[in-house]
Amino acid sequence: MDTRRRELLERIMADLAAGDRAMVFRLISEFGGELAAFVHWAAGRDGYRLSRQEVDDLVFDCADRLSGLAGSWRPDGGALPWVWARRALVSMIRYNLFGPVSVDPVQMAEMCESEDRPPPVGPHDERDWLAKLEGLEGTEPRVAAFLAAVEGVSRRNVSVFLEYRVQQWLSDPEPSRTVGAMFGLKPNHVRQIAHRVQVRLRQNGVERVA
Amino acid sequence: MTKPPPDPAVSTAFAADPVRMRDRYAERLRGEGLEHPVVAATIAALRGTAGETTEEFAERMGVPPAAVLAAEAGLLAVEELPDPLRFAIRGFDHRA
Repeated sequence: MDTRRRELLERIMADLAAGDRAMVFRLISEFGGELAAFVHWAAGRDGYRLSRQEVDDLVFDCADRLSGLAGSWRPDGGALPWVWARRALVSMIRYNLFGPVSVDPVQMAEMCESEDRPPPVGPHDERDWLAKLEGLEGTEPRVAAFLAAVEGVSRRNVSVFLEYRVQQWLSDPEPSRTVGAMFGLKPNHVRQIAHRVQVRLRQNGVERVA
Repeated sequence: MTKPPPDPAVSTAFAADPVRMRDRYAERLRGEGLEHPVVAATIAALRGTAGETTEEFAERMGVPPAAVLAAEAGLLAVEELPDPLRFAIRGFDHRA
């Protein structure tokens, strides 16, 4: 992207961050092509071919979502806004196209333990479920949906949540105590973390299969 | 490895349907409880597409900035708008 367009983008994002929501239309008029390319890419990951109307609607939805996130985007970070926020935007696009996604945390934990899964890249903590899941993101749509939905949640809290659900499924009589011992947390704290992550998943269109 | 997003220097040929964009925004505003969401969305679309501040848009339209603010806040019905804004909305709708 040339300097002039980059500067224009930064001005638009600054206006949105300042609360001028009408600049959503400026973002679309100037960068609608890029947003449309992003929308096609996001839907194409699920093999879905968009109609013209769906492209229009999703371009608007992405621009509107970016207006809400504009205050957190840092131009000196280098990434374009829709690339920086890609997980949140992909999660929203999926929800708008397909409705809530059903994700079973225990099933995902089993995928992580499968011998077929690619190993995590680089040194990692064995308790770090995100490190295990990120290798599956490109091949497992449910994993991708889950990762998009927990964007911004700490790695530790995601791992605590998944371990807690696994222990419950294993009929552990005291899952919060077991997981607390793994992570050096009090049982009450484990339950709070699990509840907050569950709320975040629901807010982002991911339902847990009972 | 997940396929990365498209090259930012390459965009698809895309021309936004302004009325569809306006209508989508109006639905958003309706959900937020604005009394006159279509008026609000249309004025926002006109001003935002031009990239103008409230003051710049008001000056170009020949209306007080307060009228633009009230219109975008959904406080004014079409018939309550100053003539220049009412005509601008009519012109926008005739694009459909």
